[in-house]
Amino acid sequence: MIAADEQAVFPVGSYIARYGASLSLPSVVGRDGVREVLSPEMSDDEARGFERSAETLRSALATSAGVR
Amino acid sequence: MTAAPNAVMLIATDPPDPLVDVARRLARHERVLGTGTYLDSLRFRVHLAQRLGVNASSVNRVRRRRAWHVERVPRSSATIGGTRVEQMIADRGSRSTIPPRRRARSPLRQYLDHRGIAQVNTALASSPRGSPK
Repeated sequence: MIAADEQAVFPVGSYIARYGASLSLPSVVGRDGVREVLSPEMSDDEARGFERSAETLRSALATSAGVR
Repeated sequence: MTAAPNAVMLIATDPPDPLVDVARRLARHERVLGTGTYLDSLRFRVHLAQRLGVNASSVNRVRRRRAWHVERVPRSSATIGGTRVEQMIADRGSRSTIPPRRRARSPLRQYLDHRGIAQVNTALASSPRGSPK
């Protein structure tokens, strides 16, 4: 999908600035990596759950900040 | 990085999402992506296909609305030939030696038992029955 520059949509993980962490969402993938992250429709409850997930990952990232 | 500074990095090691963050921090660029829930989605599609006796390529729309480390998940909208997987399992239940609900959850239980929490939500999101037990 990357080498062939397919521009196909896959549920891959990438950094999403608005969540401040890398998360898996349907994304357009091509030669340059993730070109666009799509935003599936979510209910309010789902959106809250997703934000909780982001917070968990942000915390993990902060914890691992010193890892080299 | 030195040999191929413009290369796209694909993270396939669990847990992929956190490791994407680590890799992009080390690489100091944004051309990093992880397999995320893609591989587990494919794996689960195979499970569903085997259970229902169809080719895995015929399992469609394995939506992933909650494959992101969350506690609760909705039902899958996976379909085969336009028919919800959930309905197919219910329809075929009488022809199986395994109760329909147990059949529906079996792949999920495999994930819970053998793959750990990072994959739980993938199974849940793809499960014909989305209720975690």
